[in-house]
Amino acid sequence: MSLNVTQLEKNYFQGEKKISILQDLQIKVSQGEVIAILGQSGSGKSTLLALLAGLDIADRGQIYLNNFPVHEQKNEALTQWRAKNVGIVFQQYHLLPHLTAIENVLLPLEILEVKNRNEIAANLLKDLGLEHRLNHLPRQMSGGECQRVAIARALATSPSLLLADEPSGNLDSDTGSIVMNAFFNQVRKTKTTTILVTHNKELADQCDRKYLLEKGFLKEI
Amino acid sequence: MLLRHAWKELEKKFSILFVLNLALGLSGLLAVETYRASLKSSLQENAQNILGADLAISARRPFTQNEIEIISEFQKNTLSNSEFIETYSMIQSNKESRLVLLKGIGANFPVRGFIELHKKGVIESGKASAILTDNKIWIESPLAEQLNLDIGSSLKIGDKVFIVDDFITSDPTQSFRSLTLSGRIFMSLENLYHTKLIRPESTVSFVKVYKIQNYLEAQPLADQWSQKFTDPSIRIRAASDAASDSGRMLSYLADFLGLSALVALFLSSLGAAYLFRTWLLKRTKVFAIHQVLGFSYKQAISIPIIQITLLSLLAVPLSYSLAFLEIRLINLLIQSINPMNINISIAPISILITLLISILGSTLLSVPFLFSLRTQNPKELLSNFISEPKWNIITLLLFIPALILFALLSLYEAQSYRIAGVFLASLLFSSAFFFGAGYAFLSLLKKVPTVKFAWPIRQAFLYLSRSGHRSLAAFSAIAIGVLLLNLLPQLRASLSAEIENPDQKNLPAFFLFDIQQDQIDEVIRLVKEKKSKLENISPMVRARLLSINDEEFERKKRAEGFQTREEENEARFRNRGFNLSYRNNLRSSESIHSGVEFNHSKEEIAQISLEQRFAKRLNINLGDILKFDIQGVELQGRVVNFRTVKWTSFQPNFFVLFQEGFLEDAPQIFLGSIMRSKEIEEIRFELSRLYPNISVIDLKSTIEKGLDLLSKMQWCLNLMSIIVLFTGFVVLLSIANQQSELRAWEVSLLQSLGAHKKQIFIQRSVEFSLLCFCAGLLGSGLSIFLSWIISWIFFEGTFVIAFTPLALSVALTLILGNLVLTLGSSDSWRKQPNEVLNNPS
Amino acid sequence: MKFFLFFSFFISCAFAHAENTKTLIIIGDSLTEGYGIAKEQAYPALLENKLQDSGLKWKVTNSGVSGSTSASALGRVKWALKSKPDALMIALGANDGLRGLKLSQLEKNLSKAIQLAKKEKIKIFFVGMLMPPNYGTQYAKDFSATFPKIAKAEKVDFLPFLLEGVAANPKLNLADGIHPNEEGHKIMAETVYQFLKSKL
Repeated sequence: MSLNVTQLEKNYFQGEKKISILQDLQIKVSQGEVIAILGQSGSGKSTLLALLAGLDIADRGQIYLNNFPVHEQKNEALTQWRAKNVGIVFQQYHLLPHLTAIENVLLPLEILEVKNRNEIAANLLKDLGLEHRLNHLPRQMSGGECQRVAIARALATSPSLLLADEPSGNLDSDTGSIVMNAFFNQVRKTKTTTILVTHNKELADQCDRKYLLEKGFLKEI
Repeated sequence: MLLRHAWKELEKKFSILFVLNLALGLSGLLAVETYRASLKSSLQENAQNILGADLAISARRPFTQNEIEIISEFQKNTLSNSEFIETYSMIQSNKESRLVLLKGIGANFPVRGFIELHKKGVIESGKASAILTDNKIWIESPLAEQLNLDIGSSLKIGDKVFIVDDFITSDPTQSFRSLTLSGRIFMSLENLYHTKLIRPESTVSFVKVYKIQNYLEAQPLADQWSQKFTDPSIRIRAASDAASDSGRMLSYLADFLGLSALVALFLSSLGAAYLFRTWLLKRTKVFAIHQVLGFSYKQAISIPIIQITLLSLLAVPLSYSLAFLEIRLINLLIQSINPMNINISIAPISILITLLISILGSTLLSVPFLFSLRTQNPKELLSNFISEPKWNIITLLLFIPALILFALLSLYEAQSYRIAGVFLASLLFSSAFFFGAGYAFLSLLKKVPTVKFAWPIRQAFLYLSRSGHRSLAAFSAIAIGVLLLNLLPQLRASLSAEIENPDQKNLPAFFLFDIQQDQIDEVIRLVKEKKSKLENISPMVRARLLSINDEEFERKKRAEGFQTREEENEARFRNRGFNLSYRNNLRSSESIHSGVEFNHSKEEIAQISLEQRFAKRLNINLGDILKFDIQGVELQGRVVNFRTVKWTSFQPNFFVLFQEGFLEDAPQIFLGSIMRSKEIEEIRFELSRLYPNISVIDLKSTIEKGLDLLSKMQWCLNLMSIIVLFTGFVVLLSIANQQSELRAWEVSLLQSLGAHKKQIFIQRSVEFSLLCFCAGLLGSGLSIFLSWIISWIFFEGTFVIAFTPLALSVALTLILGNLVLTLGSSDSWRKQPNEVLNNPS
Repeated sequence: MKFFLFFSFFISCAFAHAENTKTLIIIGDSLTEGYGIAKEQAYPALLENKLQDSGLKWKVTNSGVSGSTSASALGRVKWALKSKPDALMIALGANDGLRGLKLSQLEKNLSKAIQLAKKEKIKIFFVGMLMPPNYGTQYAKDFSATFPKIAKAEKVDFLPFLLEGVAANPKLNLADGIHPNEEGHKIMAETVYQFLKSKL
């Protein structure tokens, strides 16, 4: 079992009032599986991703990634773990504007001090059809291209878990499907365990399993 | 509708920070403004009290009816006026006779300062004449002692018998540096006439004194009045006489205070401009959305203008409260060391200025920026990367209204065209220089091979060199900030060097005048016997300057007479003759301004050292040949150096100094000084017994008053420098804070990519330190250059580099900047990095 | 070079002698120096012109020192005698009066100086001074009496008042009311000329 989440709970407080975002959430994902999580906006999808990425801390529950207890880790260790094991694709790409495509992809590899990183980054970008864009700055590229750079960046460190938050949310449907095709190709090829958060049913259908997040509960559909 | 829209759309957190930063900068300006005004008025009061009046018209003869008419015309522009007449007389008491300065005072005397009496205490300005009635006289304590007079004693002066009413312990009308040979006796104006000593053949000074609003206006007013009188025997003198050292220092200080207000103005404007700029940059996208939504261009630009005006409006009361706190804090700190008893309150005009800067300044600065957006396609703006607006000539021209506003404000702050002009020009020059240097610096960074660096450092270099004008703006802002905050401490150092409090132990207590050649050895021995020492013994040779480089120096009166008053005054000055002295070495209070020391080679022609300002006034250059007439003998000399003399040493000073070996045989007298000692009265007595021709002049009160004013000036310089330094750092802090706030999301992103906070901090720190260090270095370097120019233009000469503030400003910018990184953006450090998932960049 | 000045003094005097011109040195204060006016317009220079115009070959050396008192008289006479002048005029004392110095001292100083000059067997002229009335009637009287007293005792030619017709007239004095202006010096030169012309 690659990812095993049990009894996960996250609440926010609005003054005195407790708002449950996630309740007693369970999910098991096998190695190489691609899971879609559907849900209305505000249903807690992003919170779930943040928890899984170790970017936020749960109130209760356990998260094991390859039997590593993520929930027990403190900041430092969590950061280190994340660098090695988690890749994230954001809806807004979040590329550093002053870095070129390849430099953006290189960044997580540099953080991990991976050797032959230039090769890895260049190959990844090539795989995603961006070989002609290696030395372009984000502002010189289209949205679709930017998102593909972001995908390359997320996959650069060959993470055990890839988290993607509405990767095509900012793109028109044509560009979106090009990007998502590239996305699926890449994760399938690298057999990366992936959780894709989306409200796009068609995208979800391309995944191995689908879950619906509703009122804090997650159920498979 | 637009207003509501503008309000609704304000991003709360960013707006709060913006308002806070702006308010901080403005509060600094308010604090400086407030202190400047208070110090200025307090110092003015102090100086005027020392000088006794602001303006004086005097003549050695009674004023004519015509002159009185002219004078009464002028009188309308003054706050109050009084008059007195004074004359020297020999007074015979039962014990002995003494030379005395008799002073008959009119109504309203003195117009400034106070007279301190032994019994009656302080007599405030304007009150003396009402008390000094009947046959009463006031007499200076030492004189009373010499004449063996007590309170209640009677004394015959001229034809009238007077009763000693009180002793004078302090007299405001004793001018700052003039030495008087004799004690004073005050009486009423009518009584002085009743003595019958004032007759047509008498030598009497008739003086009218005036109090005006601002002592700095005294000189221009005096010049203006002078033009109305054709007779050179009418003398009009301003208290703040630019020719006197104290007057000169006071006007320097006023200029310095003006400059400090300017610096504060520009520092806070710089902070504000930087804030506006980043704020508007953030707005570009919203601006595009508005246009897409169907707002017209005009409407779309009015939204950010309304917003920025609203925010600026909010910043003003906040800055007022902050300034209030700052002033309270400063007051608390200076309470124990404040010698001036200054009264601090924020003037309404200062509030108006802050309002002007924040509202008008923000609007005027946003105009060119918003204009530059006009050429942008909204579609492009909507893309994820805000491309920086493009600048062209027209957009640059649109900065002119903002520049005019600042020029006007500078003019108000400096209250002098010259200072405002020079300041603005040098600031423009510096900005251009910093932009150029910053550009070069960033281009240089691009060339640094960063591949081998650890990633945080590599990223820091990449960020700086790639983020173009963002880094350039930060670079320039920091450089200008450091330049401005260094300018005052630099100037302070130079001015301070000039008014440095002398070592009290080395101050003379008495001057000895008119020691004859055959007396000097005896006098030295006598003083030594009394366990004191005759110091700074200077021979004095009377001479007339005949020519400079064969060009006749003295001015002859031609048949048609002198054409103008100025011409006549100039002639009188030139024909007055000079006191020469000679020695080979400089005193500790002297230093060579330019030229070389005397070399001791035996040349045919004597080497001469001139006092620098004297040389400037007479337009004499190094190498010039001066020909003197020394009682019938002509003697030539070549000017080899210009000296500056620290006047605060209160030592006898000669404009013209010869090397040894030329004047030894000329007829001469000697001067010297004695330090304060227990035996001084004994020395004085012995001297007057054995050498009655030698005058012993007591310098005590002169020096005390001088030192008091000096320490006050020092204090003002220090306080203003510190406050401006403080303001500067506040502005730099707000710039740093803004800078890190803008990039808070990057922290989250890097964390989500697995970077440690420590690594991210290192990256930021390297970035910031590189930027600050280079900008700081350049800024402080240029500050030396600029302060050199400014002290050359305004403070004539003395220039000292203060290294401490230089090092301190670079170091503090680095430390504080890094502190801001940890504290200022602590928000983004503390926050869970999931922010990046929710918030768009 | 210590004696440079000294030598040059001799040289200039020797040169003057060569033309068979006689020298008169006037030892005085600012009134003689011509404080505030050009050297050529001070009374010693004007006097020289007058003497020469009337055919008397005299050179007049202005040895006026502003601010000097009678205390300097002896030393300066000593100095002046080194150049072997043909006549000496002593016009000091005004500053003693203005500074309220003791009159006994004034008398002593001037007498000593005259006595020294008399030893050289040259012509000696002595000039008197008055004090303005503000110094007090008694002092002014005592002061002005000092000069004829000395002249009588030392038996020297005496000019009672250098500023005759000049003092206290604003038109003839500088703004300070003390020092004569160019017009004042013309009158002084005339006064001195009238006094000297028959005696040289």
